[in-house]
Amino acid sequence: MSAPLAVYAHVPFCLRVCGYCDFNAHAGMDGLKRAYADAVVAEIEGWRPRIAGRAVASIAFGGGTPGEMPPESLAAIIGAVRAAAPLAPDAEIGIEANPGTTSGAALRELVRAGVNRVSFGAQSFAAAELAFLDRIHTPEATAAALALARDAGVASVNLDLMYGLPGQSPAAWEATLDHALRLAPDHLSLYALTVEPGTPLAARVERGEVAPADPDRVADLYEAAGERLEAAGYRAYELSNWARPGHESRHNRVYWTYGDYLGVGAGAHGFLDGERFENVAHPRAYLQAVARDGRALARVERPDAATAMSDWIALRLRLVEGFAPAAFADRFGVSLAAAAGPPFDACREAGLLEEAGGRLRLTRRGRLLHNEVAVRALDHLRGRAGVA
Amino acid sequence: MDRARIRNFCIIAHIDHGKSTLADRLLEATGTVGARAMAEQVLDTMELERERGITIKAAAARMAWTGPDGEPYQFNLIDTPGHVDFTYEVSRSLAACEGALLVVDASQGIEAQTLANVYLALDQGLELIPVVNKVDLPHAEPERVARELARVVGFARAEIILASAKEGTGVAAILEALRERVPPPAGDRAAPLRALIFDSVYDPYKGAVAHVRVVEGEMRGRADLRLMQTGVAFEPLEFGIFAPSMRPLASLAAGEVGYVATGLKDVADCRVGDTVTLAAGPAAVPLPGYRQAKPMVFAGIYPTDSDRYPDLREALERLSLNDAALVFEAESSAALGFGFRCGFLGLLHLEIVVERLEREYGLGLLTTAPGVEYEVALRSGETVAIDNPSRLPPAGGIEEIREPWAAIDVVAPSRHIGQVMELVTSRRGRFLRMEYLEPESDVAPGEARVLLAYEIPMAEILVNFYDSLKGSTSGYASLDYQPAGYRAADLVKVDVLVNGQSVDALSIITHRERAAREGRSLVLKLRALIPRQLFDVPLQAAIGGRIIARETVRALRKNVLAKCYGGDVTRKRKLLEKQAEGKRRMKRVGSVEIPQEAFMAVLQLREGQESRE
Ligand SMILES: Nc1nc2c(ncn2[C@@H]2O[C@H](COP(=O)(O)OP(=O)(O)OP(=O)(O)O)[C@@H](O)[C@H]2O)c(=O)[nH]1
Ligand code: SF4
Ligand SMILES: [Mg+2]
Repeated sequence: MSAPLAVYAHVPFCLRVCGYCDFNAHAGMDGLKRAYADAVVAEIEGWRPRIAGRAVASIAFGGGTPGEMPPESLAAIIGAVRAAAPLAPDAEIGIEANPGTTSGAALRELVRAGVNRVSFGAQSFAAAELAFLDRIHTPEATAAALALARDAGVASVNLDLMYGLPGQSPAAWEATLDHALRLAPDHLSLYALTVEPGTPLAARVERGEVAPADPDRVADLYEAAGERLEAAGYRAYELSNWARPGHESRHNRVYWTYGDYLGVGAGAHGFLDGERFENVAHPRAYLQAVARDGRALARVERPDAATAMSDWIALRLRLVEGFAPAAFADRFGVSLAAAAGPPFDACREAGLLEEAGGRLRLTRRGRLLHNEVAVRALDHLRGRAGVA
Repeated sequence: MDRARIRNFCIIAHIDHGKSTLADRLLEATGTVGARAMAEQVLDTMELERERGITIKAAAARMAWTGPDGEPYQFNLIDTPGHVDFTYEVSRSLAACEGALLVVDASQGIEAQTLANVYLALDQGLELIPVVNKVDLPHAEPERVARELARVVGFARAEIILASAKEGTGVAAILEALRERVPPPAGDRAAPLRALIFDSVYDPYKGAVAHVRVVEGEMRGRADLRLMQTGVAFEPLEFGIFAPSMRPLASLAAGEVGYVATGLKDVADCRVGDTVTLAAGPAAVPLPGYRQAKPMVFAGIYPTDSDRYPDLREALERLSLNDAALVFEAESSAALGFGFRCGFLGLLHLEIVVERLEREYGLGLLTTAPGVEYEVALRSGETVAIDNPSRLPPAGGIEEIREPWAAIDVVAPSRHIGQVMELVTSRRGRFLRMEYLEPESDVAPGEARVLLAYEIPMAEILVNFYDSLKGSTSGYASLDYQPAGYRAADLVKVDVLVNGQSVDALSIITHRERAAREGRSLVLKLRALIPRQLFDVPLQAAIGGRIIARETVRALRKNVLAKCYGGDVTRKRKLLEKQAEGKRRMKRVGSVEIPQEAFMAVLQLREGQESRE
């Protein structure tokens, strides 16, 4: 029996596109939603032979804003997954939602369809910050949405928050955190605002209208948040994720542990049996591709050994628990020391990595310097003869 | 071909006055290059030449032409570069010719390299044919420029041809003048072979290919040849002419210009300036050859990947075959490992060499800040040449340090005399003389072109001087320079310590009174240029062991991606690859990664001063 499978379904629609967003998200295409759900169902059916017999342990709807899809469309997609492969009884089924467009009725219908996890893009509890981010919701809407989710019986509720906004003071960030903690979510994801090239925000930065935050100050905000959340009973289990015990996202864990996942929908990424898949990104192109060939693959790649090892390391190190070097050897048939000993030694010496209970993990300081470790591992693996 | 109907000439001018474009017209008019193969500046074949729109290498081409007398003529043309950094290319080309077309832009008039090239050509005894080019330009003043040429060089007005290389006017007159005025080559065909190598290039199939001017005798068949200076004998793979690409021929005789593919793999065996003769029945004495170019600017070139040191050596050897002005010798740096100290004729030359090494040989290189060569008289009575600041002996052993000076000629309209004076004196220059190239009464006030001669320390014109000169004269001034000996100066070495370790490649030699200020701004610049590392990196400047400035590059705190969205691992990996690529371009010195720009920080130092003035 093969290892369980995670399924990611991308929903590329939003009511309005935020200025900082560089996800595959489009506004003004609401008319496509039903056809889109049909296409995703068709795509899942197309994958059937490849995933048959593998238990599906989680389904995640990401976007875009899946919470703005007609609930019956999401239910149909969940149904299609069930039909294609056995769904584990305790499967995690999560969706992302916008607090500004969440209704109790929709949430109840989703829970009936099996959804047990909802993640709200709260981002901030300061109205001015929400406006800067082009968010359509208010701080009050987030509180109300969370209450609705509780009422509907959603087992795990997450709030996404953003920090490192231009001009954000430590006090402002702590106020947002406190506000979030008062709402007692089960899980919190904290993301530093990143100015992504090509976004309207990047254009504003270029024009000098917006000054990006000083990275050292952003680091301060991250560390302050970690302390506060831990004091409130949340445990950091991944670089950007905190949860109350038992509420960690099992779906996302699959990414970090190099597990298999199927990606469906526009621009979705999948990883099956050592192969990485990427779908056509634009929603209309996706619809056309599925209508034409029942699938929408834009790219398939089988990473070479060095790349695979480097991906594995980079992903695993995002987990606070780190990893046991033996797990690396099990996967690749070569010891971690042989494959990437020198960069690991260097990072340990520099205080970025530590060993604890037979596992290697980032130190507290290392958590903010994850790329430094990953880059050194990548560089070493790529340069090492015989691994390519 | 009867020697009497051969004409060997080159085209010389100030940069951009239209030499290569005029060459196009001549190649076209003689049917050498067909309409379909014709491109603008067709002789500028190097990728870098086409990108920059300038000639870097002299290029030869043979043309067949029927004269008005109905007789066939053979014209051997050499197009030369105009930039002062490539003057050595010009001087070598001149030795293969009996005449030169002196091209002057009708809208610019005589400029600094126009004069420099005139003197070079007259020294070689060449027949000069003055051509005032670009007469089609709306602001062209052909008659004024003709008068200027007559006055400064002593031409008769009737000798001066007005032309437009763009439109083709004057080309017929130029061809006729070449036939009439350039003397045919002398040289005895029956004498033992002597051919001068004026250029050379490495070809992976043909080995070293020598560009030659046959002075006496004849090459024929596959008879073994010998290089008179190195003594190496070889069987030529082929010889022939440039038409303008290489075309093999059965013989090459006295008076002709062409090439010999030597098949020699060791490029050191086939140097520019050597004489080719026959192995059996050689000539008794070699041709005089050339004076080796005197490099004025020195910099260290190191492979970013130290494993590629042998590749760099081979690349430099091959490139120096094609660039006779380039000199190099192995050196090692505590900070950078093994590399080469290279000498150049100027900063453009340096830039071109580095780009050619990177492009033509696929090398990743690190270049240290360019500097001049000092003469150091030691207490022991010995004198040493120091072209690398880190090699300066301890102050206690030094009697005197002498720095190189340059004689510079600036040509500019008289209204800019003030600005030029100011710039040159602010850089320790000394005024020598001034000469009006045309009478003030002939032209509008302030318009008369003036030649200003100065002496100035070479180090002062190395960086940014030309740009400042152009800037302060609205682009009207031109510059030529030549070495002018050494003079004592009060100089000290400023060392830079990175993370407590002295980095030899960052040392500078500067004037004592400026040393403290420059040391301080150097570490400030370095602080901005060295990326943050995993630990605090102290930066210090020191003079003779005494710390005069200190800055710290604070340890990096944050380098992490916010999230891995929807399982898109590829995107995350691309970001890491980009960062890895950036790291690879840096040089690891001790445990600190230093980017190329940091080694050039000293250049910015002087730039900063300029803008404050
Ligand atoms: N209008 C006009 N432009 C010309 C003429 N001759 C050359 N040019 C332009 O002048 C510029 C320089 O021409 P080149 O032939 O490259 O000049 P060069 O003297 O070979 O330059 P270097 O080899 O770099 O010293 C080019 O843009 C030509 O198109 C001409 O007769 N009339
Ligand atoms: S709601 Fe999320 S996905 Fe949609 S535009 Fe805003 S940031 Fe992008
Ligand atoms: Mg040219």
